[in-house]
Amino acid sequence: MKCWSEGELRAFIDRELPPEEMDRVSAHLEECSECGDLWAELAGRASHVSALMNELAEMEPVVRGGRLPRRANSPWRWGGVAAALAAGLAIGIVAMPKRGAQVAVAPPAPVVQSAASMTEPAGPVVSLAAGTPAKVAPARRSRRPSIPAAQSNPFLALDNDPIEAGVVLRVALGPREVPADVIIDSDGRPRAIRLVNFKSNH
Amino acid sequence: MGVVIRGVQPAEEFALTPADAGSGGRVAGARLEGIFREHYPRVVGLLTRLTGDRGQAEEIAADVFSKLAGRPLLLQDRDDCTPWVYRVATNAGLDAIRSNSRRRRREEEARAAILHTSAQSDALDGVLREERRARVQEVLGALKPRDAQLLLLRADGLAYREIAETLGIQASSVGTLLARAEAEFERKFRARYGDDV
Repeated sequence: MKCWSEGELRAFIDRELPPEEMDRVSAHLEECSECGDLWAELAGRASHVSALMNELAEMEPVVRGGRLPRRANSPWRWGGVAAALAAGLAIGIVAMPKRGAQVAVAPPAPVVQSAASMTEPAGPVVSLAAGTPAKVAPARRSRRPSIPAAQSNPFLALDNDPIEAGVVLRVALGPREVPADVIIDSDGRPRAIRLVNFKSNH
Repeated sequence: MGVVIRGVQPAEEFALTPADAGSGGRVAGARLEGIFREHYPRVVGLLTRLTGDRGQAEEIAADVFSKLAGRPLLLQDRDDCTPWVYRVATNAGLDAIRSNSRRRRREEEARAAILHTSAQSDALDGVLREERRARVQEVLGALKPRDAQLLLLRADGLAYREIAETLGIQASSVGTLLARAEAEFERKFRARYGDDV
């Protein structure tokens, strides 16, 4: 039986020979110690070199984070928005800073920062729904003119995460169809709400 | 006079007359786009593996494809084109790692100094891994470009048929060339670093 060349044995190691040749090489290796030695040498070297080359593979860059994980590829991204549109609700792009949006936050301390970051570009007001704003973020407020509470119609944040961008949907709540604005973010989650006909007690 | 000139290959500068620059240019543009779409990600992957720097890899790849755009004759033949792209890209990548090697040595010295002061185990692991990578790059840089290319393409998981198409060689010779490239790689590696891997 003929001996196999180095190249053929190398291809055999990578299973790159046609099936019938794979069988013949395999049978030959059981009989021929010379080819067996060569095969062992080539296979050892191939795995050694392959292991070394794999050192380079680890250099593939790690994805640099930045976005919140829940934002990435959210399956229901914009789903809520689409549903709301289908329901024929009025929609307005939030340009929160331009509108001089007044953002109110329910649990004051943790949320103020996020609300502030949302409104930062145009420097509008962060006003608090219930109470004591000056104590919460005095430094920020001192640099900005505040809108009198009587004129404000604040949004109420529904969670503690900062809102980067979103749309405002005009919705009708309950059987009495009380009009309200809801901020939906790019993941389709409702993030803040305000009653349209909200009247401040002040 | 028994000599018959069977074909004349014009120099590339003169090959494209203004008359066919219009339609020919469009065809070449479409070909370039096709080749770019098909091969750019893999070329960048190969160069990233080689240089260890994705930014640099993207720069080199962009440079290779812009060179290709300037060679309309080459673009006319897809079979020639692919091997050319990989050859030029690998050569440029090898040049890059050779010129990086001096800087890398300085970085290694700096890392060794850091390690000296803070001997945390993960820092040690990181340094050792970096060291192994640097060695592999160094040895690849010392190989013949085609050998380095073969090893890189194989490490990328390409089948022999694909390697053959990429390099413009016969599929039946891939085993032989790969075995030689691996032997050469191992020989050079041992010559530099001994059996310490």
